[in-house]
Amino acid sequence: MEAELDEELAASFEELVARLTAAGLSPAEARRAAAREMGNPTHLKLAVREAWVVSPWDAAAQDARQAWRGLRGTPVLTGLAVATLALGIGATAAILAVVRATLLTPPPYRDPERLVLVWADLTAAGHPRVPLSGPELSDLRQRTTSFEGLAGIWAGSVTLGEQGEPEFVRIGLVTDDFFPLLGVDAAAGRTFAPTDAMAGPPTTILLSSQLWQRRFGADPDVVGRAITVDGRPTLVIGVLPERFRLALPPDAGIPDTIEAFQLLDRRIPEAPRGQRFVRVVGRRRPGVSLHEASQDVDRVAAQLSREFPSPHGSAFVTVELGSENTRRVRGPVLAVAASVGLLLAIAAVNVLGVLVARAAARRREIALRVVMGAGLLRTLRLALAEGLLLATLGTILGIGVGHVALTALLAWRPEALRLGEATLDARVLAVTSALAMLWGLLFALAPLREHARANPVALLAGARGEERRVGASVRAGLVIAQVALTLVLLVASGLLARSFARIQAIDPGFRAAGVLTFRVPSATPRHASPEAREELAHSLGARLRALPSVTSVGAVSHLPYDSIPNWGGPFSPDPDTGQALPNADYRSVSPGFFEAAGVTLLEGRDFTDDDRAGSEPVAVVDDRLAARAWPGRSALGQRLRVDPFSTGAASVWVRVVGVVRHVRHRSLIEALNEQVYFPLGQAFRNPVAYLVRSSADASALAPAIRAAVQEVDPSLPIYEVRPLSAYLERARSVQRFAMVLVAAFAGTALVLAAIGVYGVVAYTVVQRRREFGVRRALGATRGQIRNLVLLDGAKLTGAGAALGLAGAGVAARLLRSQLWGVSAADALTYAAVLPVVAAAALLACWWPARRATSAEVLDVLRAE
Amino acid sequence: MTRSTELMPGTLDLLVLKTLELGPRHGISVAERIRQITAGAFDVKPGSLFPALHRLEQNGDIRGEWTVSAEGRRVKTYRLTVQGRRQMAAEEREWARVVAAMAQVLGS
Repeated sequence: MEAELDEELAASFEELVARLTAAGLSPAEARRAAAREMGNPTHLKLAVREAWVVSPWDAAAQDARQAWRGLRGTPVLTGLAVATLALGIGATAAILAVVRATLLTPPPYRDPERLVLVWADLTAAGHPRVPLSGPELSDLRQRTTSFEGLAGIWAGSVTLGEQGEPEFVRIGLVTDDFFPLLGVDAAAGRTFAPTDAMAGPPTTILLSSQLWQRRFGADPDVVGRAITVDGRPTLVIGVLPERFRLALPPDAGIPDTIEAFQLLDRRIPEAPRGQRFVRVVGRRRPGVSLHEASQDVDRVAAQLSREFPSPHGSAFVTVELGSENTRRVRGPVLAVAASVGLLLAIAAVNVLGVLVARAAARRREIALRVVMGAGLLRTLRLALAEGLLLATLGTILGIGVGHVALTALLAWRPEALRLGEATLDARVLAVTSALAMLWGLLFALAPLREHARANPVALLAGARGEERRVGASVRAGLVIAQVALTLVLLVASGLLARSFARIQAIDPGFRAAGVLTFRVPSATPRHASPEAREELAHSLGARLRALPSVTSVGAVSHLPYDSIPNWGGPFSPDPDTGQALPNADYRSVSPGFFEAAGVTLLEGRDFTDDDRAGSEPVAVVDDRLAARAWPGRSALGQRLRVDPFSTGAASVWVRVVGVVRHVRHRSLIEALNEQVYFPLGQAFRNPVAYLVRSSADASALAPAIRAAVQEVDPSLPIYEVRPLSAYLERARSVQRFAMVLVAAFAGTALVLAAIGVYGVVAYTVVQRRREFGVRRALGATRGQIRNLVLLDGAKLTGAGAALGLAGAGVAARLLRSQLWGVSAADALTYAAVLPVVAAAALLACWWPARRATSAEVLDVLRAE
Repeated sequence: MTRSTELMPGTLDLLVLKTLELGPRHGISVAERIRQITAGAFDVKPGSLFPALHRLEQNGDIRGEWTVSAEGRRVKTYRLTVQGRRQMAAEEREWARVVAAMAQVLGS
């Protein structure tokens, strides 16, 4: 083709020369003149080549170039559109990554869809999901046929000692088939084998990759060596892969921070049936449905109920591990995702508005192009190119925005959401880009409507009335949609904020301010006997109380909302009320705990140092238990049968010496079980948490507290030094997360909607300048003109608000499960949101309205 | 001396098609013909003529063939295709509309 062009141009040159020679020029002159006529051959060939549209790609490239020129011609509008789009796309990408990490990623195990959790169902006692006892696990393993295996896990803690600083580590206690069942293999060494449980000392330990790197410097020789665990030599059999993590649902009570694993005691099948602590994971056989597996388990439950009669009978629930994991976070995450969807819609509507306005402004240009021979197809292609180009620019920028947004989100994630793995991976980017391109198509098509309506002749002839009418309804529709969507978001955000305020106002029953907490082991190899433990607690307590500004000190087995598995058991009062055996939460506390935690003592006395092993067993109960067990009477001096040693039966008689106010220590928003407090001296727990209340800044006490612990025993590891308020924050973190994000989206939406209203009203004002000029000439005052414009804006806003209220009603109902203490139809929220939208819209109309009045009559008429 | 007029964009294609309506011509001859018909008002330089010819050929409105000219030189001649004839008619109609519209604007 190129050679042919050269030949054609050469021939044409000769042709010119021939003609010029024939006209009487000398051959030399003719050649010079012909060369002048042909011009620069390079430019000529370039121009011809541009006409060769050899492939659709070239055509597309040409369209893209022209679209780019068009967009560059209106830099402000293009910039606004791209920035708006980038915001919407960025937020969408970040939230998609979060949704994918929290809701769509299956547990990181082999064939995760076949994994199930089996819980005991004690709904009658207020516990729909309770761990199983050792014998129950053993029965299920022997009598069910639907499972390849059923494994158990429980959490514990150990002190790693001797080499280096003593360190407290949370460990998982598992059955030997736990890791093979999940399909997890060791990265170095091996996981547990059935023979490990049978073999005598030394016991074995399996390290997480994180612990191996941190404490053992990733030394490969650690595998096969003995380390000191709780003062005993323990054989390291292997190291888990770096990406291994425990993915159990939050209510399993197994902390995410587990760093090593040991075997559960192999005698657990002989443990009491009431001692429920084993979290059971099962793997269904291929082809066995969840329903079939569930029936299999229920069949065994029925047998067990007959063989071992108990007040509640035996009932189990079998649930999928994957869906169970996301149960708690699904609501908040979906609420946030839905609001991002609304935000993206508002952003896109805004861009649409800009493009429609732009198309209206360019109608003359388009009409001219059409009459000049650019076919409708070419116009369509160009519009498409512009839309897609905008979408592409928005996507590229949006991915940047999304990256920043996700980084910020991850830096500030609530632990419960497990956002660790959220990344903008290929799939998230693909979905986001596809979404953006869809919008690009819409961007292209909406202005086309304007183009198609344009009547070239009438337009070029200057029929102005036509111009104003076309597209006005589309733009008004867009503004109404924006206002409506914004109102929905604002109402949702308002409801969440009100709900969060209610949650924050809940009195948890303790006073968190001014208290620093930390954990230490309450028994070590050196303090093994009850006397030595008592001495340890005594000297540590004395040193802490002696610190400046410290007003009270107490120790407790569990801190509110911590990740230690709950401890509880049955209680039955004397005389028995004849009710079904209720369950209470058990806590062991030191003398002084109630004062340090700010728990109100309503009746009776606190524990003292005399409540020790060997003296009369005593307990303090909460007011709810007192009211339930001895209605209308004082609980003081009454006897209560409880099970602090987890034998499975309420077998220990304790005398109630005090009544305290109920503490919401497991769920801030639900009042759960009644509570029984034991003295640590009579119901020993290891480790314990200390609470140190200070009259000054409690956090400043941390170094002094570390020093005090060191003085008492340098081998004691101290860990989790943090204010009590941090636990309270944690309990509210998911709600706070959802509230803050939705509020941020609502704020952004409000700004976008205001820009949208401004754009449309300002555009209308420009178009109606002539009309305003005439009105002014006929005697209308500036105020009347301004009101005319404001009325226009108010009409749009009013329509949008009405539509938005209807939408908000629907959205609020969907949000109901996320609300606490606030009705979905909360009048105050709606009443507060409406003026905000109205004020924003009024503000957006104010400037165009002022511009309308500033037009001087003569200027306007002269411009015509 | 004749005054040369600026060609409006888009009109060149119509001029070229019209020139080829009566029979095949090669590039230089097309330019010559336009100059003659418009009495020198439109002087189409090769710099715009050849891109136009190639564009029209690409659209399928004209087709180029290598032939031998009357003087015995090898030249590339273009002739109107059936599609080109239709396209010409359509553009003529459009042009008439533009002229009418322009006339209305100019108030003549």
